[in-house]
Amino acid sequence: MGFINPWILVGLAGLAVPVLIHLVHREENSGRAFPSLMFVSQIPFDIKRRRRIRDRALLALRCLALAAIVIGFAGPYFDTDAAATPASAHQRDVVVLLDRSYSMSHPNRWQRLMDAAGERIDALAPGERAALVAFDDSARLISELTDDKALLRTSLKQIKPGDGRTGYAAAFAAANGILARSDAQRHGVVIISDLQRSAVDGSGALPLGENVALEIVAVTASVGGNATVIDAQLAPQRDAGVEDALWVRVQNTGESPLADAHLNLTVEGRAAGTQPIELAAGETRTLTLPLVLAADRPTRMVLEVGPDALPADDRFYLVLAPRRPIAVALIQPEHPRANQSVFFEEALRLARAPAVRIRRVRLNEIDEALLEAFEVVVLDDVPLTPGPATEAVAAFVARGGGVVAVAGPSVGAAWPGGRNGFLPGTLGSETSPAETGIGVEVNAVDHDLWAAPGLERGEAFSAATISGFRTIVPEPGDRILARLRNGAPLLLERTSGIGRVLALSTTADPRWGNLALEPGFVPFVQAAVAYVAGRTQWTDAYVAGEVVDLMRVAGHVPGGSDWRAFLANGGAVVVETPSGVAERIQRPGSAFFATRRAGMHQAHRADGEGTSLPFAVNVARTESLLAAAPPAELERRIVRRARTALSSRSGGAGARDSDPFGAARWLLILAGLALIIESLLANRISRRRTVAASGGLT
Amino acid sequence: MSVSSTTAATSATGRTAPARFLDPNVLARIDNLDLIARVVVDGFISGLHKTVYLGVSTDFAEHRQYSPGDDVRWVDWRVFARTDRLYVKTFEAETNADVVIAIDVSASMGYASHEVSKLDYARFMAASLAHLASRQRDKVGLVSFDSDLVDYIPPSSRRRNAILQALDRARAKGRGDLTRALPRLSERLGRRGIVVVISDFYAAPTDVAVALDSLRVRGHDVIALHVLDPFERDLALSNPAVLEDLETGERVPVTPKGRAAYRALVDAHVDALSRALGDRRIDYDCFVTDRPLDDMLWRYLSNRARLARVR
Repeated sequence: MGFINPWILVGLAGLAVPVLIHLVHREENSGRAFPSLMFVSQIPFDIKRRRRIRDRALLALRCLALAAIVIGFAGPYFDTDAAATPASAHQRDVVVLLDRSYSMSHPNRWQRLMDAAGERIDALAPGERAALVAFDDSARLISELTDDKALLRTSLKQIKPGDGRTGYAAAFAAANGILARSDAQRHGVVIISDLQRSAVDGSGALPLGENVALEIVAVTASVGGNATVIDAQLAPQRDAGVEDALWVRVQNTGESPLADAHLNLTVEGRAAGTQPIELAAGETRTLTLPLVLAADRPTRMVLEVGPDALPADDRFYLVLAPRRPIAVALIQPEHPRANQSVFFEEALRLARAPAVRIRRVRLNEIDEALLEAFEVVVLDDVPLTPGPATEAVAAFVARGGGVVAVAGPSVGAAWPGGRNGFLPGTLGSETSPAETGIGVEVNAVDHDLWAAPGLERGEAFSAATISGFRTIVPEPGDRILARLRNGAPLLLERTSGIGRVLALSTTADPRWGNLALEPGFVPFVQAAVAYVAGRTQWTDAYVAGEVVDLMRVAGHVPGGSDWRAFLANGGAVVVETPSGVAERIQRPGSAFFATRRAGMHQAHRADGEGTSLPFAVNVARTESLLAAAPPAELERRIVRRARTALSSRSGGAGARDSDPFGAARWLLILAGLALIIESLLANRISRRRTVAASGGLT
Repeated sequence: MSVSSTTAATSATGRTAPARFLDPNVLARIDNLDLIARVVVDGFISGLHKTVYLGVSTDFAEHRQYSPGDDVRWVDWRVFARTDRLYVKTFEAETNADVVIAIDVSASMGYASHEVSKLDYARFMAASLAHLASRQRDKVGLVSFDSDLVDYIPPSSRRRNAILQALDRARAKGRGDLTRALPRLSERLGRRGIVVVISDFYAAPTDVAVALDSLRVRGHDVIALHVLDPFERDLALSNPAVLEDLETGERVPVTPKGRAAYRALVDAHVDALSRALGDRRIDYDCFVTDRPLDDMLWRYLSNRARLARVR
């Protein structure tokens, strides 16, 4: 057993404090005035009584709590191995670090790693022990320090290459943790890795003990031609009627030219195209594959290149969002102005990803059935007086529909906002500022809305100058996304039910400023409509280790509002992983899933209803870059440190038995319990004495 | 007789004293002894039922028309000469007795575990008695003592203010010894009367009895009022403490464990005093300073009435 901060143990001297308080404080030092000692002096008096500790249980609990706190902060750790064997029993302890990152999937590399590790195990002399740690971007202890060679070999066979990327920092931290608890006379670390240049270059300083012998075993194997897909994305559509296409970037990461290889595209399990590939060593080429996307569902695709030297990195998974336009109802008042909403309409007509299908709808035509065909309702300076139309829009929002509302001069007071309405804030009067107008400030730059292409985190939107606006007083829960420079809210958001509503307090045309004439207006309108429709930030392919927000995925699929309502109501989700294992998201209502393995995933509602949400996960593309760095480069990143300095930083795999924070946590819990019991006991004793004292007087 | 039993017996007399005005803690907030005395006595009197004790006073100092049966000695003949009508003089009635209040001002009387010290309580008692005696046309005198006489105001019907001022000046200090002080007092007092001794009686019961007896044997009617603080009576310690004698400075450590033994000693002392003084026909009562003052007044009036009947 040891301590990270042994000097804190000085605090144990504080244990004397409660004892002294107990002994000293119980007796009042200054004499208490009394009329006469005529009778007091006749009382039989036991001098020991004063010095005797009363309420021993209380004292013990206080001492226990204090000791637990002090020891807890000192950071104890337990070394079971060291405790089991005498200090002089082992001459040398070695930690073998085994690279199991995705790049090791190359058959030659993995076999060489196994051979090299086996040799180190066989080479253990009597009195020497070895521990096995497998690492990618995290480290896992495979075998504790042991001299049992058979056990080590058996443990070694359990290791397989994973989908993670290489991270040397985790590996060395684990080694330091293990060696910090070792009492052997000599220490050593053996790292067996392909020494990917990308991983070595990306490593910072790697701390290692001063007297620890380091052996770097490079298991690089010459890789012939190795093609890998490093990126794939849908080609932007420039003209209407042009078919979709997929741009695929392919790179030869091997050391030899690649000929006779092909790039195959599989869409929804069916072969959808192939192209021959010829790549020189290190060459990257972009290929275009024609594509027809489904309009009503996400399209799952697999790109596969090969044959080549490293089959493990041949597959690239992606899921493309449905080519489904956003259905927008552009609401018109009964007596529209000339060119009513023309700026809004034209901006939406330019939308491509996703496209927008616009239909002008008269206000008096609206009912719930009609709105079911739309995802978004645009109210461009349209008064919503109480009535069936307003109720239909409110119901539409509550179901998950989106609304973009513009508060212009025609709205009057017909604004179903306030605390209970679906529109944000409470609408006030019309205000005309000075002739020069007022600038705009974007308020929440991290908002999804401002992340849309062309808005540059709201910068494009903030170039406008506003000369007239309606005051909107936000209610609790309303979010202000942009303000005028005089502080008045300009763009507000409200979530009503599961629907999103955005409200603009100035006109979306040139009547009250130049917002509609600024370059940022078109991307803003498109982004606003996409945002309230829940159609933002689709990710074609995630990288293993990233977190998927299923709520965002759900916004893009038909019936997405049902999914959003299900997740918002705390519904549980089951994710089908590439290995076939169904992982249940533990916390009902959580819409986040942490990816671990590459491949196609499907999220299902636990109640079996609704469509599934597909998403693709790939290995980090850097793992396909097989160029190796010389061992000397890795060694240059090693920083020698004193063992004591390392022991406090050690964690990772070695933390399994020596986690000081685990022991400290338990000690602090123990201290808390002791104090709770002490309080209860003290109260009880005090109450009993009070009762006894009052009962004895009458 | 224990202290608590005395109090219980007194409260069982069925009187409706306005305890609100007699609570020592309330009186302690009034910084005027005269006012305190009036509050106590007037409140006490107004709470009394019609009893024999009201008749002992020569009620109203006024002329009253003669009615058959009145003693002709009290007819004011000069008024008769001027008005040709018979009036009876009642305002020049003789006082009945001298009342001397002897108050212990030794350091032990300065003790207080709450708002009212024993000396304060004794002052309230003395002032109230002086006021009550004045109402009854008695001459009132005051003696303060510790181990000797400290202050002496001879009995008089016109010196009530001097008595109140002397009470106001009284400070608790010095060692007390009533076995020395009271015999000296008996030498000073001439005419027989009522001597009320207010003290904490820290002396052996027999010594106290001898000292008080020195007054009784000279024909005085002696009332001994024993004053105790509640903490002094109970020693209600919650933790061990060192107690320091207010008069001698001696220190003794004590623990709550000794509380019961202490209380038994105090009770035994009170019982012994009660017996020793009772044997000598000296009225004795013990008062705790958190109790209302009407018990004391009741005791005084009882004694005063008995004295009147004897005469």
